[in-house]
Formats: sequence, structure tokens, C-alpha cells
Amino acid sequence: MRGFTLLALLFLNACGADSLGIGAKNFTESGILAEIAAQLLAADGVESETRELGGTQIAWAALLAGEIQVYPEYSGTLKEEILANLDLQTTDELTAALLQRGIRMGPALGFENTYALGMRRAAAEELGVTKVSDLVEHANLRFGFSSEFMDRGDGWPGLQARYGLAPGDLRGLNHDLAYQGLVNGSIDVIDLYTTDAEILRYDLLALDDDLSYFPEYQAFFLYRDDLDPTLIARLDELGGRIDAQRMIALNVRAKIDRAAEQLVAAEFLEESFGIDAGKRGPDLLTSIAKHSGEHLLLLVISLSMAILLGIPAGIYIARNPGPGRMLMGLLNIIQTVPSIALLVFMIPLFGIGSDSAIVALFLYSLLPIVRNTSSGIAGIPGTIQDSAIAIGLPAGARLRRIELPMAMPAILAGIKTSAVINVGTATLGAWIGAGGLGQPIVSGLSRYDIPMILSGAIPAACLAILVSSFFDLVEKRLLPIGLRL
Amino acid sequence: MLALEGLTKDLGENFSLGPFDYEFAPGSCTVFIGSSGCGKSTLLRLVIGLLDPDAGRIILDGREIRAADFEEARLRMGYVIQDGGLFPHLSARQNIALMAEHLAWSKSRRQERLIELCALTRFPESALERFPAQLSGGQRQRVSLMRALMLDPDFLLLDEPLGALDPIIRFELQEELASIFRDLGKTVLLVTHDLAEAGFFADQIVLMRGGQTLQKGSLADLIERPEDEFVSRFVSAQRGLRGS
Repeated sequence: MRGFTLLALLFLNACGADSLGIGAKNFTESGILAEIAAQLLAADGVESETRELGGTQIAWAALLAGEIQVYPEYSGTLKEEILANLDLQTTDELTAALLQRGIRMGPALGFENTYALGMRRAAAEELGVTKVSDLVEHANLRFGFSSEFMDRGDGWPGLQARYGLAPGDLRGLNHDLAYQGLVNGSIDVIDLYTTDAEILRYDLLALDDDLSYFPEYQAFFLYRDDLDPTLIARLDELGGRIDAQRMIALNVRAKIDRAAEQLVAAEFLEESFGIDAGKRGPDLLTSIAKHSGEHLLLLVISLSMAILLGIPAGIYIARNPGPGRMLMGLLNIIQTVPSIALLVFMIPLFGIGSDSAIVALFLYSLLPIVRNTSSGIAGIPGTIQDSAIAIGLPAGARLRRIELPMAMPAILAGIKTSAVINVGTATLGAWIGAGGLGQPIVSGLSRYDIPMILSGAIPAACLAILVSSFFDLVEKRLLPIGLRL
Repeated sequence: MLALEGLTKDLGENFSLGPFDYEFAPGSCTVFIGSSGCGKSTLLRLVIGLLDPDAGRIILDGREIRAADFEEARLRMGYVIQDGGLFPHLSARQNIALMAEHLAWSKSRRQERLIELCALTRFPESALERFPAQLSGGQRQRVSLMRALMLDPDFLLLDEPLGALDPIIRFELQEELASIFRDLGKTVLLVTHDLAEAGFFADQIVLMRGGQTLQKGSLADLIERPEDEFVSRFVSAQRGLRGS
């Protein structure tokens, strides 16, 4: 009964679009800031949901679409990346451009988190490198940049042009893994954020931007214009309360001490505002149960849709090979779209969250089911098809009594394949705010928190095994005895 | 009364079937014989509507069977093929009774008919619950025959019904089939490549080659009065094979 209640709650949660959504990008600082906002409101009795989203573009799109109402952003990111085509110079221009889009900018929080290039202090001193232009002399250094930095308007392409850099070895990788690479010596130069905890931890040197390439990155919250003014006023109280030292300390607390973001936020609010919202982060079992529930829900809904649509589509293809080939071609193309891309493509259509993930997973599940249904039916020997017609069975009865039962082993195998693949693919749903067991994996990855990654990865693997054995059982139950001989 | 009028079918690659004009007298047995690829099985498939003819008509009791009528017409025809064409996921009982069940025959009526058919084909009732994979080749053909006979059709279309069986079982079943045809008074169209088998069953033999009728007559006609050089070659080859 409790399990059922939990599932029902999750379902309502997944459907509930009215609750206040506070977004965070997938790195620690953003997560902490979002938690601070959520708990500040919670202290006033305003419940909200913090949602970690894949990156800048997704968070921005979610805010515009009203999927979230608040998220922390940086001035440089807005000017140089999100609204880069407007060529905004002053803060006033930025404020006006945001208002046009129904977005309001909160007061600056009090710290700047700009981009910098970083090296190990010891290595930099050895080469005599202190500023970015010194790098021109050292073409043999290995550069490793976060994927976002590689592509951003205010990132690598412009930096390279400004300084005339031509590294021999350049690769894109996850920001947090880049730190690991830097520390173990497989990379020499990475991009970093000036409030990153790792600068303290690993004794890194942020190279001087001597040609003033990087823009200003003041941190503040963005709100939707239609957000309740009393809430905006409350959040505005955070203005000027977090300076750079404070932000680095919070980041160190979360990343180096491995304190949960909720706890770090709670500590900050207690210290600076004397507020205790009573949120110290859920215990491990509760969070695994919650994420497994979300995961299972994604799986069950998307797979049911794929079965309901895939089997009729497979029958159609078996009967109409001509148009069927085109349909199969289309499904094959969908299958070749990288899963993370397919998930992101769904956002404009279905928004941030589980709806998009469910549709993407549904599309992924279709091919194995459709293909196995059509090949299962087309593979029935001609003599048996003939016999079924010759004894006088009409088409509907042939399908029900002969074709579907005979194709059943293939159909079940297709459903099983889809289900197992889906368990894995659904972990990517976390990138677009769909939750599930991917959430601790994504969060853990951005914090280099192995136990957290495992708290998502191990249950996901177990779930895949469970799903597979479940379908083995279904197979035993549903397969006609005559076909097992 | 079943008749074909100018029935033709173009099978491509310079191979066309017919035109065929035949009447199949009630209670008679017509055997179509010829080497493989002569079109004899295809002719049977045309008659039961598994293929659409290009021209010509199939007349059942004075009325043409059109495409839309076939489902009903097939209830008056039983069809048996070489390997039985049994549904592997259904037991022998379900295979035989499938169509009767679809027509909503009562359970007792189906059971009665099943017992009759088991006796007729000398199939052990205890084996009715077995699946095709659990039956011997001879039993499978008996089940296939029972399935064809279940609705008590007027016509039996048999495509190499004994083709897949070993000689002893084949001989036994030949005897049984002949007595069933005789006792039930069915109109039979049978396809075989075996002249002795044709002679055993046929009131009338149709020898085919390349999609055409070469000669129509009794076994004696074919042997003693071949109308074509191929007929005598076919006959002597088959007789030589038997060593007689």
C-alpha cells in the first residue's frame, strides 16, 4: 500500500506543472545557489522543486517556457552566449533585453565567477607562465576544455583568435574530469571558473587574462516576470550577500568536504540569515527509492506506449512491405540519433522534464518492437499462412489465432530488448530534468563524487537485470507451449 | 459441381498457366500429375483462391466464385498440403477444430465430429492433445486431413498429401484415403508426381507440362494411347523407376 502511495505521489509529482520550479545548471555552484533560493522561500512556507538541468541552453529554454521560474545565471553568459546576437554592452541594455522576454534580473549576489585558463602552479612556475599570452610560446602543452567552453561565443574560439593560440593537443571533456586530468598530469591547461573549489584544493594558478578577453561574470538570479512579487522581493534579499571568498568556501564545502548541496545551502542560510528551513538532504535509501520510482515510471509509460503503437505498426509493415520499408527507414534514422540529442530535440515540443524524456524513450523503444513484430509475422512459413487462409479464417481471426501467437517469441524478444535498453537510456533523462536514477549519476559526475555516481549506477544496473528477468518470466508464461517444443 | 472456365494465370518469366477448362463431376477424383514446376500445385492454389487468376472463372454450383465470395466458398473445400501446414502453436485438437470454433460450433458438436474423424482416419484420440512437433509424419498428415474434413466439405483439394511420408506409411495411408473418398463421396482434386499413386486414386488423370494440359484420360489411356511424345517418356520413366 505504501509502495502504491509512493508511486501515485511520484506520478502526481511528474505531472504537476504548477509547482514553483527553481532551476540549476549541472555544476555545484549553480546547485548550491538554487538550493539557497529554494530554502529561503521554504522558510516562508513556499514549497518549490529544484531541478538540475543539463546546461545553459536547457536552463534558459526552461525559464522561457515557464518550466522553471527561477535560476542562477551570470552576466557574461547572458551577453556573450544566450543573447550574443544582440551585442549588448551595458547592464541597462541587458536588463531591457531580458524584460522584453519576460525575464527579470535580480541584484548581483556579490561575486564574479569568470572564466580563466588554469595550470598547476608548480608546472606554470617551471615554464615561467603567468598570463594567457605566455602560452603562445608553449605550443606543446596539452589543452583540455569543457565541451561548453569549446563552443561558447565567449569561450575558446574567441580566446584563440584574441591571443593567437595554436595548441598541438586540444580536446573537449567534462569540466570536472578535466581537473582530474590536470592533477594527474595528462593535461596541462584547462578552462576553470574563478570560484571553483579546486583552485584552492589543487593549488592551481589562474592565468592572468592580460588582453582582457573574458567578459564580466556577475552572478544573480533570473526570474520570470510573472513570479509573485513577494517571492521576488524575498529572493532579492540575497543581493550582495555572497562574495567571492564566500562562494569559494561554499564550493569547497560541497566539492571537497562532500557535503550535500542542501546541507551547504542550509548552513549558509543559518549563518547569514539565521534561517533554518530544516532541509539537510535526504538519506541514501530514500533518495535511491525516489529515483528508482521515477526511473521505473519513465520506463513503464514509454514502453507501454511503444508496445501499444509498435505492434500495430509492425503488423502494418508485414502486410505492406512497400510503405513499410519507408517507415522502417524512418525508425532506423531515429535510432541513429544520439540519445542525448534526441532528448534535447524533444524540449521545444514537450518542455523540460519527464514528458520529453518519455517521448524520447518511446521513440527509442519503437524500433526493436516494430522490427521484431513485422519480421516475426513475415517469417511465418508460407504453407502455414496458406493453410490459415484455406481453412476459411478471415483476416482478423488469422491475426489473432495464428499470426500473433506464432510471432510471439519475436515480439517478446523485441519488447525485452527495448525495455533493457530503456533502463540505460532513461538515465540520460536527468540531463533534461526528468529525474530518475540518472540524477545522482549526472550530479555525481559534476562533483566527481564516486559514491553518488554509484548510488545511481548500481540501482540502474540492478533494474536492468530485474527487467530482463521479468520478461524471461513473461516469456515462460505467454509463449504457446507448441512453440517451445 | 465445380468447374473451371478459361482459367489462366501469368506467372512471369515466360511461364503462364492454362487456360484450363475442366468440370469435376460430383464424387469423382481428378489427379493432376507432372514433373515439378509444371504448375499443378499452382492450379490447386488458384481453385482455392490463394492466387488470383488473370482471366477465367471458377464456377461453384453454377455461380462464379468472385474474390469476395472465397471466404464462404472455402468452407465447402478442404485443403491438404505436403507437409501438413499444421499450426505449430496449436494442439492437434485445436488445429482440427479451429474453424469450427470460429464458426461458433458448440463444444459438444465439435467433440462429436472430432471422434468421428479420429475413427475415420484411424487417429488415436489420446494423441489429440499433442502438438504437431510431437506427432509422427503420418499422424501429422492424418491431422491435416481431419482439419480439411472437419466442416464436411464437398470438395477436397490435396497437394501431394503423401509426398513427405516413408513408403510403408504412404502405402497404408493411400488405402485409407481411397476408402475415405469412396465412402464419403467427396469430389477430389489431387496433385502428385507419382504415376502409380495417380492410377490408384484417379477417375481421370490430367498430365501437365509447362503450365499446359498435355493429356486427359485414364491411366490406361496414358500408357496405351499417349497423345504426345512427352507423355510416353513420362510414363515409361515412372514405370522404369518402379522396375516393372
